[in-house]
Amino acid sequence: MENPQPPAIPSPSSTPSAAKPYPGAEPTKPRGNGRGWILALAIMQALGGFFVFVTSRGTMAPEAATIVLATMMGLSAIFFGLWFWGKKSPFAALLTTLIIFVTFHLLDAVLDPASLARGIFVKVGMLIGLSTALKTAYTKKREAELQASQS
Amino acid sequence: MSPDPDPVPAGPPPGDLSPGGDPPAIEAIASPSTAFAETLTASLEPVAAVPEPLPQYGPPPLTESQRYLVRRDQIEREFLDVKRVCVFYAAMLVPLLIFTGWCYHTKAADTLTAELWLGGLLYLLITGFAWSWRDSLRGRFAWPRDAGRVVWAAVVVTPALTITSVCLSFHLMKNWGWPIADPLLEPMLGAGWPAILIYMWIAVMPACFEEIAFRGLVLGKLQRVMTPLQALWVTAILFGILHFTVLSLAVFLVPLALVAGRLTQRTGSLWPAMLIHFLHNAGIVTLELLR
Repeated sequence: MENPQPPAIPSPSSTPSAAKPYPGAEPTKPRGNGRGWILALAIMQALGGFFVFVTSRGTMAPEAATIVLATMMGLSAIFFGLWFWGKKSPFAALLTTLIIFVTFHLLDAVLDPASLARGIFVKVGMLIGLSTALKTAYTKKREAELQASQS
Repeated sequence: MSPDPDPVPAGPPPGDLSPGGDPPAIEAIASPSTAFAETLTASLEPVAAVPEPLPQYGPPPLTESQRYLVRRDQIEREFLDVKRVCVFYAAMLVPLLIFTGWCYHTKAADTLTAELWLGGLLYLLITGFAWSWRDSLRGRFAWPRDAGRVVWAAVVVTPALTITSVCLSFHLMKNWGWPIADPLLEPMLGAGWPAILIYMWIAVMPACFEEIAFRGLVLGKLQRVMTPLQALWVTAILFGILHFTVLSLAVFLVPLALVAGRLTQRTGSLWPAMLIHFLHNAGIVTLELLR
């Protein structure tokens, strides 16, 4: 007795046109995972540390200037570490970066209120960039988890 | 008189259907046709009886789209935990910033009173959040009976290492001419606090409340969204950042938080983390008192 033939699978060309996705309906997926913002922050933190160290040499005690430089370099190192980590888990890295960034700038503003105005556009730009990247990372993570649950 | 050579049996004779006798056995009256019918019936019966499926009274199984919606809602709820952690962090950050700014700008002020107010407010906040999120803390206060020797060795060794690193970093800072922060206990000693009260305020209370806050609430919430290792690192960095010193963060805060968090994950209990924190703080207080 012969095996029955399997049911024919319709080829893509035989599907009705109404089932085909509309060419422009697929949303454009964002490129990258947003960790470039962490790298930018790390570089700017390092450059800012050098800038403050060089410009405040005459006005600040050498020990205090060194401490400021060490603090900013330490922060830059933390951001570099988070940038590396962001390759594997962008959501966690971006969340941590945003919290550290906000915490230290708030602390800076509390200790020296005039510092809030210094580089305000860069700070706001960084804040917006990191928030957008965090949202993107969140969306990607959610989509990935949903796809994993479907398969 | 001779005995009876052919005694009569006591029972009734076979085939006796009189009312006074016992009924005959069925086997005894089985005819050949009955035996054939039994054989035929046995051959027609199935070899293994298949039980009929029980009727299902539960809800019907979900379709693929329904499963998708359920999973999506679950993920949304999990990510709501991230927002809650951010709210919790902000609630602790704001009083700390106010306290730090106030102490910094009024240098000669009574910092002990401010510190007491801040501590009271933070502990109240942590208690409120812990009560609100008590599901995250369920089982966390049980004593880890199954914790092996490695856990208890880590509880003893970690504070010893962190205290050593603090002493070394202070020594290096002094050699480099960097200003060292004011003595930790000066306001309390100035107010005439007894040693037991100082230990309670600096060693016991932070060990309990900070561990409940970070290893209990924050780590528990973040583990729902991230892998355990990621949650461990994020919690450790947040714990370090909230102490407002980058150098201490690298020297002892993050390592201490990593070990405490790992032990919490391993044992499921907050006690090892609390003990590590307590031993570290108590060691620092003892060194300050001896100094």
